[in-house]
Amino acid sequence: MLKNKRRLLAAASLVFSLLLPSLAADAAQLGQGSISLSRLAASATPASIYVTIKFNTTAGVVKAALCFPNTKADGTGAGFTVGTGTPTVVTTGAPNTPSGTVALPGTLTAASGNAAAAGTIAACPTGAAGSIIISGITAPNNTSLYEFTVNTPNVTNPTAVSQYNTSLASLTTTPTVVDTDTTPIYITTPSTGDQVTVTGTVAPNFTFSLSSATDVIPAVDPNSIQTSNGPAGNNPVFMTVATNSPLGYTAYVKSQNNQLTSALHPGTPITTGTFDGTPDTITAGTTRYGFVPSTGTACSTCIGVPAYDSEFAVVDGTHIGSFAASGAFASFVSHANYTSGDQIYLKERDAVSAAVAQSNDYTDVLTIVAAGNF
Amino acid sequence: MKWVSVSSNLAAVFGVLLFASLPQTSTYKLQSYGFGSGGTANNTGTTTYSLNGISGEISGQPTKTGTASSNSGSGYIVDLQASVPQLASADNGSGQYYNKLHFVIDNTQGNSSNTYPSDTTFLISVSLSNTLANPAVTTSEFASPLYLHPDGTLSASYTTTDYQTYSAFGGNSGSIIVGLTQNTNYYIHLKATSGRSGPQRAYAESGYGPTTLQATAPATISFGLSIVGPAAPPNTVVIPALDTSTLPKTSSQTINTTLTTNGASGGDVYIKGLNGGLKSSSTGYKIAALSTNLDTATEGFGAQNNSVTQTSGSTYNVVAPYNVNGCVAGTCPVGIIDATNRSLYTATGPVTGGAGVLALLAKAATTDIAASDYQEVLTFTAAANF
Repeated sequence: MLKNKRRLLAAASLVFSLLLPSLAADAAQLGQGSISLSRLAASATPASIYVTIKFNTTAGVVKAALCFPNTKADGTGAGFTVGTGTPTVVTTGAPNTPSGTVALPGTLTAASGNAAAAGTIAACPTGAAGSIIISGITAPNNTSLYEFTVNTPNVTNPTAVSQYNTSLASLTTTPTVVDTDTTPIYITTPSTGDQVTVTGTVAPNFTFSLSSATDVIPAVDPNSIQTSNGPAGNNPVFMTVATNSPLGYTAYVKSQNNQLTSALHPGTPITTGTFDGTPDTITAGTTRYGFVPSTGTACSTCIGVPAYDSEFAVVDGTHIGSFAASGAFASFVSHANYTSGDQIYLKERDAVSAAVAQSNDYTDVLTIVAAGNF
Repeated sequence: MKWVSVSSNLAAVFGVLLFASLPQTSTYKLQSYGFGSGGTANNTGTTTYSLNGISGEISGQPTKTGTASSNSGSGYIVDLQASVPQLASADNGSGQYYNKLHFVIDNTQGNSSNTYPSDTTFLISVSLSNTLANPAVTTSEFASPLYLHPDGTLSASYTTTDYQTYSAFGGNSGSIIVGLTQNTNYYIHLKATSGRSGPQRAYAESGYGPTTLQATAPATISFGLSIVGPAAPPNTVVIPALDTSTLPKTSSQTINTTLTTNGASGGDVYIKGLNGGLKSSSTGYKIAALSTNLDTATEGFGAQNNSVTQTSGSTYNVVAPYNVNGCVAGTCPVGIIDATNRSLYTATGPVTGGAGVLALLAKAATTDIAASDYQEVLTFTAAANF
C-alpha cells in the first residue's frame, strides 16, 4: 500500500506539472529577415534600403522597425547616424533574390529618427543609434516572405569597415515588440569600397568615298545653263562621308584650273566666278563655271544636317559657287556632329557666251577631300 | 493479521498439493496460480485479465479494463524511475548556427553498456538564464523554463507530446532547437520518463539532469570586392578601345566579389549601374546596357560571369541574366546593368567563401561618338537572409 501510494503521488505530481500555466515568453524570432543598403561603403548615405521580413507571430502586428546600432557588432567604435524624417515606402522593384517575396500588405508609411526623437528607438535593442518605423501593415501572415523598400531613409553609414548588427522587429500599435531578428550588414571601405568605375574609349573613325571619278556637263550653248548629272547623265556624282567624330567633318574642293579648258581652243576658257563668300549668279549667254554641292540621301544615324559654306550655299539653278583662286582648297560643306553617312551631290554648272569656241573637250580637275574634326 | 496471512499461504499450498482444485467464490475464480519467485505472470484465462501474484506481498486490486492489452499490477510493484539524463553534447554547428542549437542526448545512463529502454521519453527544458545554485547536479526546474516541442521550437508550456524518445530526438545524430537569438547563452537540461517495456513497470519520471551551457553563434556576414587584372586606377575596370570591329571587347580586369554568411536562408549580392550603360560626359552619348547577344547587336554593354564557386556551405549561384560566359561565333550574351538593383549572386543557405568573377563587355557601333571618357559606375551590395 505504501508503494502504491508512492506511485499515486508520483502520478499526481506529473499531472500537476502538466497543468502549470504557461509562463510569458520573451519576444521570439522573426521567421526570416534581411536588410540591404543601397550603399555599403563607409560614410556613404544609402538612397534606399531593401528589406525582406517573414513574421512569426502575426497577432496584433501592424508595424515593423529597422534598427541601426551605434557600435560595431563587437560593441566597439561608432555606428550609424539616423536623421529624423519621413522616408517613403514602396513595394515595387524587388530584385530576383531572395526568391518568392511578396509586397508587404498595407498602406505603408515610414518615420526615421534617433534617440532625440522620443519613442523612435523604443522598439530597438539597447544601443540603437536610430530606427525607421514602418506603419500601416495590414493582416500579415507568417508564411510569406514580405518585401519593401525604404527610399531616402536618412541613414548614414558608419565610418569604419566592420559588421554591424542591424535588426528587424515586428511591433504592435503601442508599439510593443512582438518578434525580432538580428540581420547584420557589412560596411566596406570608405567611398569606393562598394563601387567599380568602368572606363571605355570609342576609337575615332572616318570614311570617305566618291561615287565616280568623272562627271559630265551636258552640252551648253548661249541659250542655256547646264548642270552635270553624272557620267551617264542620269545620276549625279556624290561623295559619302561618315564619322563618329563629335565635331563631325569638313569637306573641301579645289579646282585645278579654276576654269574649263579646251585643248583644242585654249583661248576661250569657261572661267569661274568670284570667290567672295557669296554664290555667283549664272545666266545663259554669259560665260561662267562653278560648283554646286547639295545634299542627297540624308544620314540615318546622325545629329544635325550638313551645312554649306556661304560661297557654295546654292539653292536654285541660277547660281554657282566659285572656286578659290590659285588652286587652293576651299571648304564647301561640313557637318558639326557624328553621322552614319552624308551623301553630298557634287555638281558642276556652266553657261557660255557666243564667243566661246565650240568643242567637246572642255575639262577641269576637281579635288574633293574631307576630314573628321576630332 | 499475521496468522491470517500465514494461513492463507498454507491453504494455498494445500490447494496445490492436496486438493488440486482452484480457489473460487460465487463471484470470482482464480484461473491459475503458482509459487516461487513471483507467481505465474500473465496467466490469462480471458482476454481481459491477468494477475501478477507473489506470495508474501499484499496484492493490489486487479485492474479491469475492456481491452485485451490491459493487465493488473498487483503484487510487487516495480516502481522503476528513469535514470537522470543529460546531454551527450550541444553545439552551434562550429559557429554556423546563430538561431538554433544542435544537441545529442546521452543514451547511456552513465555507462556505455546500459542504455535507456527504447521507449524512454525525454523532456528538454531550455533557459536564457541559470539561477540554480549548482547547475551541474541540479534536478530542479529553471526559473523561467522553456520547453522543446517536437518541431524544434520552444515555448513556456508543454504537453505529453513533448516527451520524445531518444530515437525521436535523432538518436546519436541528435536534434535541433530553433528560434533562438544569435550570440546568446542557453542553458539546457532534460528529464526522463522510464518506459513500460514490461508489465511490471510503471511510468516514473526522473528529476532534471545536469545543465549544459551552449551559446548560439553570432550572426555574421562579410563582403569583399576586388579588381583582378592589369594595373588600373583603384576600383577601376578598363574596357579596351571600341573600334569598328564587329566583335565585342572584354574588360581587361575582372570584378571579383566574395560573400560569407551564416544566414540560415543564405545571402545575395546585387549589382546596379549609375548610367545604365557606358556614357561619355563630354559628348553625352551612351552605349546602353542590354541583355542581348552582343555578337549580333549593333552596340551594347553588359556583364558575363566567368566563374562562381564557394569554399563550403550552400551552393553559390550566379543569377540570370549574368549566368553566361564567353563568346563564340554568333553568340556573345551579356546581362544588363542599369539603375535597377539586380540580383547577381545568391545562396539559399549559409555559405563560406562564395566567390564570383565578373567580366564586362561592350561593343560600339560605327556611329558611336568617339570619346575617351565613356564611363559607368557600378555599385555592388550584399545582404544576408537571417
